[in-house]
Amino acid sequence: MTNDADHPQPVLAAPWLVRLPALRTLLLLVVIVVAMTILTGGAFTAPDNLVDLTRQVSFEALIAFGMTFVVVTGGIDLSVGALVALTGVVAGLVLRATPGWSEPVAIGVALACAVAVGLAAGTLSGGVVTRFAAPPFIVTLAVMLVARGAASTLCAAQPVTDLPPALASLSHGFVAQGAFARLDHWLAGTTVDAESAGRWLPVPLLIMLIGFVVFHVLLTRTVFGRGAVAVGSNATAARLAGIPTHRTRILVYALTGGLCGLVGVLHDASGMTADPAAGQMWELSIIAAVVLGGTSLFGGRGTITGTLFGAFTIGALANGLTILGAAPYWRNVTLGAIILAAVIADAAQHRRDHRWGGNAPG
Amino acid sequence: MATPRVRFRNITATAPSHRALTDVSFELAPATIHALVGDGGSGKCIITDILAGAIHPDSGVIEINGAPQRIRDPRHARDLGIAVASRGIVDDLSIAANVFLGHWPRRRVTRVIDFPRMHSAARDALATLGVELPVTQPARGLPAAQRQLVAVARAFASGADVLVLDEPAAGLAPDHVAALHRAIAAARDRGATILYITRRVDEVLTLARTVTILRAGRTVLTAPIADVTREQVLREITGGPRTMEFPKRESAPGPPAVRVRGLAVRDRVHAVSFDLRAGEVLGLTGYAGSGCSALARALVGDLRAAAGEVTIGDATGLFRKPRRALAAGMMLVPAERIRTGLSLDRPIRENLSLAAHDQLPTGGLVTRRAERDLALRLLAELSILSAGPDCLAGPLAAVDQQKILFGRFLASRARILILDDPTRGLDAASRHEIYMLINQLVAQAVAVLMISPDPAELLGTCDRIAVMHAGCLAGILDNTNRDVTPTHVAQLAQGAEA
Repeated sequence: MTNDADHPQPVLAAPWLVRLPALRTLLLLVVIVVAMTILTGGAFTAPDNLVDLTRQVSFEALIAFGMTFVVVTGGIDLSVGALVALTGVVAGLVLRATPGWSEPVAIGVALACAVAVGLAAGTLSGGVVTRFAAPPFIVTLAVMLVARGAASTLCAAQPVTDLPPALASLSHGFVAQGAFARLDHWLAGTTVDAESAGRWLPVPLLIMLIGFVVFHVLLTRTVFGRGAVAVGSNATAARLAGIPTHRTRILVYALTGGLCGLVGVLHDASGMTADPAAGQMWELSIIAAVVLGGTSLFGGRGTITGTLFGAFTIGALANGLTILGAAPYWRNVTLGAIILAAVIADAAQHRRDHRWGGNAPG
Repeated sequence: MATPRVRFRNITATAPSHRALTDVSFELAPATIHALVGDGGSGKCIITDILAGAIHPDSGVIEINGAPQRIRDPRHARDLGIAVASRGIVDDLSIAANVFLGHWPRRRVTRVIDFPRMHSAARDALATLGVELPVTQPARGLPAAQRQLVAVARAFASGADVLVLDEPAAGLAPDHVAALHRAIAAARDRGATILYITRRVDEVLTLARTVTILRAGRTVLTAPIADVTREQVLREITGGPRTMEFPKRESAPGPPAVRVRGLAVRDRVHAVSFDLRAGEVLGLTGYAGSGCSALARALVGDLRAAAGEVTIGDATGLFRKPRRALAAGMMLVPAERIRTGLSLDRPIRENLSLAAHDQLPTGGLVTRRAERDLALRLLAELSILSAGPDCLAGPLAAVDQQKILFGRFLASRARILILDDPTRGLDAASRHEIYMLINQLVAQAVAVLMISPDPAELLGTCDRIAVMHAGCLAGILDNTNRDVTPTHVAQLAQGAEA
């Protein structure tokens, strides 16, 4: 899973690590995983911990994929954490309102409602950003407040509990209890025991990996993705070249909102409760994952692969620090330092890419 | 002879744009006007930047009043008495505040800005340049020519005695040019030393005392103006006799490709009607602010038209977005390549395919292979010098960047091309390449509408020339036999009847 597809030939005299930001992030991830494994004496790589880690990372990575599109167009979306809470509460309320239904149908309807609410909120953000040429930072900050407030209002600030048991499998389930595990053990020459057969691929990780492939193709291979990159790189040029710039901008926010809806339901499933306080500060670690993955806050440059590595890096760091017994604020200090470093690298890269700006007469 | 006020001795320097100066030497005698002429790309801007303290020479010495000096930064340049008329205008500050940008006059005791004094001084400074502007209003919305005058006024008002003016007369109407030149001469008489940088030789022949010619980053001639002829200067600028500046073309205009009727943009364009035929180049010109660019943008829907009709084929109406115009086969290549045309930080292939995503043979997906095939074909067809389709567009030469935009048009299979000042900032050889390219398109029955502030360029390339004056179409001159003269164009541009 290298990043070759995105940057085929680094033709400039820049070091390859600079031209391939995703690889740089992967390197950082490897360093952190190795360091955490040593520091925690192996507790970090224990199967249980890895499952916990991938679950949390999967939630944030899914939203970060959408955020990558937003940032690539030159925008930002601060409302994602609050949208996870709002859509989660909506899903919880739908589930509680449909007690007589078969559980899969009820969950499906709840999921559809959550995604619809997320899409609507994203469309609102994107619509205001494009229609009124308003700064996305403030627009999505306002949507964040509205969504957080709406989440608490809907459930009277009380977490929604008594969710249908089948929901849990969305977050705690594993796929391939059969085929994959058997194949694995056949290769290893052992027999399948129930315990290890159940530990194959956590459902959230599977959903996230599917999302990774879909969004990678969407960004690099489709007209929509190319349009998003073009809008972020030079919006006027894109408009004159016939790219539907407004529609593209609105869609990236809607996409991110929809992903928040999906994650809202997954998050409900992880704690079997719909909490209006869910997703606090997620926007920061999600944006950090995107930036750490080499996506430029100036727009026009970014990869889904980088974001995936960025999300894992931040997840591994947070998880490792928790195991080490560090106080939560150390996690924030580290996160902040990493964001600063990534932003400095991004700004330097941006300067390099635009050093030809003075090519005017003369 | 008196000690030179400023002297360049064997200056070698490199600009961020990769243009360079090599072993440049010349001197500015005190209280004279010194002309620095050269084509785009000859290195004039680097000299400006060095004098402003924005670029530091790699080697060589700059002497100020005979003493070697390193101009550290723009503030230091001002302390040395050098003012560069830069075009940086702060839109949100008043015109007067822009004239005194950074050194606003202040009251003696309280040290707050003395607005009445600033306003009247700004009015005076602009009056010497022959313009009257509402100095208390924000600079936002000033047309380009007047912004330039504000910048010149800033240099004049700075109290510096070395004034560096880079193309101060570009886009100005003749009477404003005359006023500007009177003001420059008056400043000289007051003891100022002026470096007048331009590519239009005729502007400085009567004004300057000395001329320095810059070609490809080297000084090729420095002489008193009295000792050289106009032809000699022109020859030295291009480095040889000007052969075939405008390539010939067999013109065989076909049926109208676009009919424009009564197109209007609020405050900028008034009821303009014309036809653009397939296989012809229609020139469009006028003084700054006459509405040429606004007309072009309104045609493709980049600017909202207040009224009018555009007919392409069977379809009649107004395009609300450039996307709609492109779908109908009409594309605009804007004047500012960098700001509005190219994605510098994206590969060439992406820049080429931007308007042709629906033309790629891969069913909705943009694959690298299809895109690269398209790019390779276009790079060859347009003879663009690059290291391949995966290179970024940023490091390309200016002419190749412009060709990329032609390539974007070719890839889109649109048939109507609107070019806004396609040769801006290009040297003579590059301009020639662009003219050849336009001829190539016309031979394929593409309809070209070409905007240019330079009448000579239009006289050499266009079949007909439309001239705008104050937002109205003043007339269309038939140039099939290349027999229109600059005087014809100038008369229409000044508002005379055709």
